[in-house]
Amino acid sequence: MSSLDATTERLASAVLVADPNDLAALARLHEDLSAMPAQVAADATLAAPVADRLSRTAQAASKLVEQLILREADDANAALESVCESIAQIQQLLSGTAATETSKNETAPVAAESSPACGAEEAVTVVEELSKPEDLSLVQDFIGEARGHLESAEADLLKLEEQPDDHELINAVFRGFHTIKGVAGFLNFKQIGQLAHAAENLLDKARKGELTLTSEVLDLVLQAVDMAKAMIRTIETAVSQQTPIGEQPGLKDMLARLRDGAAGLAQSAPAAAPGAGNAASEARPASVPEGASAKAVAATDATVKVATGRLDSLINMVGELVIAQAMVNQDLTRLVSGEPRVARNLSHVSKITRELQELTMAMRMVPIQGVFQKMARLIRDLARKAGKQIELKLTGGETELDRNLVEALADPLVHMIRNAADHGIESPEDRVRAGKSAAGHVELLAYHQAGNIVVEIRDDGRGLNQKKILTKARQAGLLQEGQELSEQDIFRLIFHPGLSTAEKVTDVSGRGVGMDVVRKNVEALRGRIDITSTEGKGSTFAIRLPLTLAVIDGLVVKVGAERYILPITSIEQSLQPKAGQLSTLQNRGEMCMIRGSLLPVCRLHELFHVTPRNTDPCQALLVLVQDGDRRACIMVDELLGQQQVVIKSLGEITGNLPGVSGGAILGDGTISLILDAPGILDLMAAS
Amino acid sequence: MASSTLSAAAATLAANALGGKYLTFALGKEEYGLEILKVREIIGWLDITALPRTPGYVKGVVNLRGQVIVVVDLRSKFAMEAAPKTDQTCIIVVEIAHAGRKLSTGIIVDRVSEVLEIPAENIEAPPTFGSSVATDFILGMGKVGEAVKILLDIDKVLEAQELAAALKA
Repeated sequence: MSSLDATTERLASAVLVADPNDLAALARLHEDLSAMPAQVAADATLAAPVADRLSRTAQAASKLVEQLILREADDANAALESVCESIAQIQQLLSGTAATETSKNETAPVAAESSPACGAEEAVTVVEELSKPEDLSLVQDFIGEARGHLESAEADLLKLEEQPDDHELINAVFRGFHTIKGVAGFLNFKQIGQLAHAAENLLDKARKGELTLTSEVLDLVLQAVDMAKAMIRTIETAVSQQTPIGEQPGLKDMLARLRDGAAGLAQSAPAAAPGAGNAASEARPASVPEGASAKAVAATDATVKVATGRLDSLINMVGELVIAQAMVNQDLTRLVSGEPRVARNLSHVSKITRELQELTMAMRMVPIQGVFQKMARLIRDLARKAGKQIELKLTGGETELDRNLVEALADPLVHMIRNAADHGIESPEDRVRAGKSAAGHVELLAYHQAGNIVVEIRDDGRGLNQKKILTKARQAGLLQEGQELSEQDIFRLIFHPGLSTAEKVTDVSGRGVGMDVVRKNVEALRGRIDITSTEGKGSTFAIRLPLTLAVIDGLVVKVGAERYILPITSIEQSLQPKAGQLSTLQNRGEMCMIRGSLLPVCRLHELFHVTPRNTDPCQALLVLVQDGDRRACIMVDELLGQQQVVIKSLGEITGNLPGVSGGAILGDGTISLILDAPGILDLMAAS
Repeated sequence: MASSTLSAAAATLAANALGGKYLTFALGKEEYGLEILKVREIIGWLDITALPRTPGYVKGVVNLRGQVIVVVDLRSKFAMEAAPKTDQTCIIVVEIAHAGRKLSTGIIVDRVSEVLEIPAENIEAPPTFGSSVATDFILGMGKVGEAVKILLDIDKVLEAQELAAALKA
């Protein structure tokens, strides 16, 4: 390693931790930077232009550091960032991969001399070696950070489409790329560094007003964001599998396009014919939450990142505390009936415990905004692709729900949004013909209602055609001739797998791609979907979910010595049958006639091999459970009552027991199994 | 011949690495030992919730301060006859390796005895019995005075993969 390399490396690590107030560190930086030109001159291996730029960059950076030391810099942090960037550039120059363009950070005097334009092609290294193992944690941080930057960049880009002149937004996106570039340079991820650099250049033009951010340009930047995301994923897998990072396909092309875009070529090519059709195919998030645009960029609450594992154990422990506290409370209340002081303190402790529990639960809650943002992007892309005009309105993005739910909700939402954009909203011509505005409206809103969170997807498209759904259902053999259905029942048919996967129905009804999957996903989260629709006016799909996956309303039942919990959502009713209601099939399959329907009886004790108190259904109780269209009566000895229980996973290796969805800790500290109605029905069918 | 000498040497070598502290416990008349580092804690008796449709040696699950852990009956696992629960019966929580992580699992034993330091020279390789008695989950036989402690490789006894497979059926 030459002395030059050593100096650069020292600089790179020093500048990252440097503090504008730490004069000693700044002095060392200054010393190294000032020494660099001499070292460059002494190094004969460097090509003349590179050497020239190296010394100029180093000089400029050292001048900046000098300003910092003398406290002459207007904005110390910005200046330090420029120094950081210059050093990243030096590193790139030394490794021979630097773009020939210098960066144009105004605060850096280096950059003041404008770019020598797109000269020589950058050499894209095909394979990047992983950094040293000691950098691994840095790489992990980088992955997380870059993701964050890219996500907010994406959101900001969508907002930019609304307000192309909002400098604050352009700056925010610019800063994101800039940071990624800097850290990538430091960690030696050249490809992503190049990409970020190119995107940054383009945005810089826009920042200076040399380039207007048309939707074509924004498209390009969004694609760059996508590619950067893909690259981050590659880096992540490479790190976990200890493999080198391969070449990112399409990178060269993207770099070239970004460069052309920066040079203003993008406007002339596709937008040369901005005919009515082309311009029409624009979707814009019509009203991003009021006033959020500029402020959201800057103002974020101070937060601490906590590993989910720790959070989960905290929630566990607090759950235990609540149980233990309840037990102590029960025992003591009897003992201290004559002691007002103790009684008062006891109730104080219970209050604190309860608040602590609420607080820990709240820690898992996150706003739904993140998912909404993804949908905004999706709608935009879909609309452009389909040549439709769609205005998306997001309401209630600040509504909070369980982190796990947010992730699980994304998939069904994507399906439904896609349906709304693809099939719900008509083409602009059709809309005008139907007397509607050319632009379709899709509204995504979230709110809390009675302990549930409701996410609605509303569109003013063509709506569901009841007649056609019915016809198709009859053809598919789902309905008997003459069977009367309520409106809700008809709409519900689109969730039927036999119907929804049929391609033809999709065309006719306009809805139904994978709706059965959507329903399954939502039901797995213990939620349901309601549909309202008026033909020609539009449809509303409302997904209703419990606020958290951690708590469930359950009916505690007893079979022999075992207690089980049945989720209330899967119970229709419970009853004690009379002998007349029961009948058997071939002396085996037991059935019970309830309000005109014949339902199979499930002897839970036989499925689970426990000894029951009653084997005669007339002595026992039947709980009628349903899973979609399937219904059955589960035979239990006793109903112990309804209560809210905290769901516990039974752990990795016990997590997949058929018929059991988890465990719950009851008031006395013992575990009771939560029964999974669909699983039990499957078990019955199999036995 | 040469190879058997070699393998005997290898066994001695392995046994040498085995010296250390063991938690000893009893199952019937037999005394067993567990490497102390695998033991998380000893708990008294807790109410066990049976898991339906699982093999007999899987007793069920217990609530260990909010964490749900599986409890295995070691007698049943070793095909010994069942014993009535006494006030000495307890659950030892051990940590076994599963998918690169540590998994807490309870084992039911008749009685916990003591923690013993067994030097390597007092540990012999397990004897071979042919196929009638499985010995692959025995680390070695520790000699303590007159008594012999069977030192268990708990990871092999409670083969997490096997447990997982048994519970999926």
